[in-house]
Amino acid sequence: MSELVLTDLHKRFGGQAVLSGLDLTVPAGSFTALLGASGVGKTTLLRLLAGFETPDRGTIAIGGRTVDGEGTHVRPEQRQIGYVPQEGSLFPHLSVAANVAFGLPRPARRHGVEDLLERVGLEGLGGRYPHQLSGGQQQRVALARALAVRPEVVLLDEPFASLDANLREGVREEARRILRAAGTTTLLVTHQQDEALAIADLVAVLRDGTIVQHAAPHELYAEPVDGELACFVGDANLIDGVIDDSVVDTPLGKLPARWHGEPVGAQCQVTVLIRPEQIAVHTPNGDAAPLGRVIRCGYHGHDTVLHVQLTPDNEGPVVIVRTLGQATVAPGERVSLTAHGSVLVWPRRAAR
Amino acid sequence: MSVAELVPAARASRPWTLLALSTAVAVVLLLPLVFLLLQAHGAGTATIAHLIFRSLTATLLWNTVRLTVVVTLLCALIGTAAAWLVERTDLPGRRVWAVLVVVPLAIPDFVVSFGWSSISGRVEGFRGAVLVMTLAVYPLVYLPVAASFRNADPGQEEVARSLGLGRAATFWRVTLRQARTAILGGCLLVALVLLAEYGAFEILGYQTFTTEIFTEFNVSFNVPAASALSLVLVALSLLVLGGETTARHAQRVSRSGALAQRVGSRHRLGRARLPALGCLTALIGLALGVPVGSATYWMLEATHAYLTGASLLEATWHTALYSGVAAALSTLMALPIALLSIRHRGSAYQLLERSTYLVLAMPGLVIALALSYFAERYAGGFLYQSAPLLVIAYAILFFPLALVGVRASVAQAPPELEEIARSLGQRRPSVLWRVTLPLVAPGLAAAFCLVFLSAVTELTATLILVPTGVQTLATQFWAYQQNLAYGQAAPFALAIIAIAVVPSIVLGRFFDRLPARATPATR
Repeated sequence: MSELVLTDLHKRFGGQAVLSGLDLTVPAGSFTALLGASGVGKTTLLRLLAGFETPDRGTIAIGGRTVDGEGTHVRPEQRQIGYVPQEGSLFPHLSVAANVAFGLPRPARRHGVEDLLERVGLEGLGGRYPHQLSGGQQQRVALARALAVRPEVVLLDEPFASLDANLREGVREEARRILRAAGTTTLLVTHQQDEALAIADLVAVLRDGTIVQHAAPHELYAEPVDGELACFVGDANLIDGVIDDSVVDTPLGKLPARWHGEPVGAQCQVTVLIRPEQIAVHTPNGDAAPLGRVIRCGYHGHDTVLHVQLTPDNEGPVVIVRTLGQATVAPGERVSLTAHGSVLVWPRRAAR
Repeated sequence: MSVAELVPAARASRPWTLLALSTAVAVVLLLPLVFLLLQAHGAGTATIAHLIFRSLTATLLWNTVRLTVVVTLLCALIGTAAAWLVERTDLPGRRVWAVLVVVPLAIPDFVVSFGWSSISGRVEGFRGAVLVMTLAVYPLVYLPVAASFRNADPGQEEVARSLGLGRAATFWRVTLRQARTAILGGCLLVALVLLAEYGAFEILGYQTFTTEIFTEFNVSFNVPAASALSLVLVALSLLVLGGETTARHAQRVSRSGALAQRVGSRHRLGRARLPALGCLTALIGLALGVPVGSATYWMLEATHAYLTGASLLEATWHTALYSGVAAALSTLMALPIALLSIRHRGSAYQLLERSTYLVLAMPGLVIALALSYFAERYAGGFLYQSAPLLVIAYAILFFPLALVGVRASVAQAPPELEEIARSLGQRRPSVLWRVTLPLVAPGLAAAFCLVFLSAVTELTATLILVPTGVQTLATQFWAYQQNLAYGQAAPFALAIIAIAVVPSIVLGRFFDRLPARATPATR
């Protein structure tokens, strides 16, 4: 097991900064997800770690050994890093067994392969060729191939993106179990927040060339560092409010508030994060609850997402509300809303 | 930004070995051009200028240019029409036609020429040359255009129809636009072949630059005149190359969405079916039937006492030997260039690759002259008319063809696989041997076939460089043909066709399986 330490990493491509001063420590033996929007430099980071690219500045250390920086660049073949790319990228001219055994020294190629195939649940398929396997099986072979050389660190580059949705979850859990059993430090790159939250011990979010937050999934969802991140890791309502002590006054009423970090002050303007599932709608019954008009109603089977414009009509903010199952309201209807639970607040800046 | 930020820490090591090999290849490829310039320089600028600016040059220019223009246009028309019929309509027997239409490529131009002129004295001069050359080289347009029709997005035609365009307008504004790059690429090849052709024109008695250069060099031994005319010929070829490049860059073909293969519905020919079948039958009859039939006729006509099986076998052996070695050499030379330009970013690498395209502007005759000049002048006559020099000439002459095959395969092989091999602990040479070479093997085979096929059917450079006392199929055919011994020449022509047909069918299959992106006409 090895800790992965990245310090002040910089990388430019053709004048465009991709990574600018990135710091990240991946604890030994952890399963960390690197989450970021498309084109934000996630793959670049993985390629730097694997040694396919060289950082312009900064250091990379694997298990205390510097592999990049201070004038050194350890070649990919000397890094002991397992790399599983998006499409699996099995060698098409080799059988499954030969793929798995690819990185092993010649005498060791015979035995060990069947054992590895067994570990990924593909025993007996060693004689097949990649094109004879399903997408999920190919990914598992790619994983076995990476694990064959007993890497200290395994890098997964959106390995489940090309799989069908119904297959994805199974393969993902399987991979997680195998990697846990192998005891490697794992870094998984993904642009899907639900995947990151579901699979990882820790999630590092890459934005603007640096890691903006590195935390456990529940913490990331509940305590994002800013509004943009809050929206990135799930649906979010960002509305204005005024805070007074530990209560924030919002268009949805007075709600118990918690600061992200240290409280900044009393009686100041803040941005409030209310998750859609914290809001409930019901038919107005003359009480004091805030009113709104449903402007959109998206049915997803397991839940329904409503867009509700708060009064006064056409001027008030629009909030997203998630209700389980089928909603009993239709667009155009008037509803009243109640929020429950505590809400996160940040001092109001240009937080969108 | 501090200074330290601007200085890269450690660089991933540069591909030095690959770079050295590629540079060596590029140098070898450009040698003929250098020799040609040295040769011309040796003759004196004034002499060369005098030789260029005379009325003979104007005549040759007129003959060469008008033939090139007319044949290129005809080939564009026939090649595109045939490709459309085979790939886009419900023509009966499409699979058979797809093979038959391409086979004439395996018949050397001088054999087509021989086939026609030996049965009718009226096939000669400009009209004869137009007829013969069009029939001999139209597949060069057919092949890329058919590939482009196969890979074009049928959705575009459907959208055009739904937007209210009629069939003709759709064909004109959408289908032809899709195929434009391929048509241009095919025309480029046709034009370059016409500029370089010698044998067919010699038989037809049509005077062009190549026939004149050949006469000056081989009959009059007038080296300054030959090199002066060669300069003009190379300039013409460069002009054609440059024109095609400009035209190709002026347009961009993009395809939105994934490159999912979707087969569009074929056009119904309806009542046009019979005429279309008639046209194709006539085309195959003229391009394939006449040369093969005529050669067969002369062979059967001849008294068998003349037929010496031994010389045929020996010539076949030499042809196969030289062509095989040249094909292997050319393919090997193409590998580092293709790897460097596709696998490594850098404008210097691209420039290195581009420089090799200059070879396209060097007709076989000019390469042969330049190399023989080099052998006489610098190698003390040691290499002159030796097998190695002939093989090197073939390898240089057909290098662009080898590069097409190798490049397509390297571009198809995902670089991620090489990276993964490295992350699994393999060093670069091991990665090359265990991953890259197996992946590009089909391309290497295709490159080999392409060069082999071309070398077997090559005549001009062979006539100049063939080792003394040795005959290849082409030179033996030529010798008999020159003496009007048609019966003795015919078996050699048929042997060439027989050898060339196999690789040409293998090739057709290879290029059919590639997506359009990997085979833009000549690159």
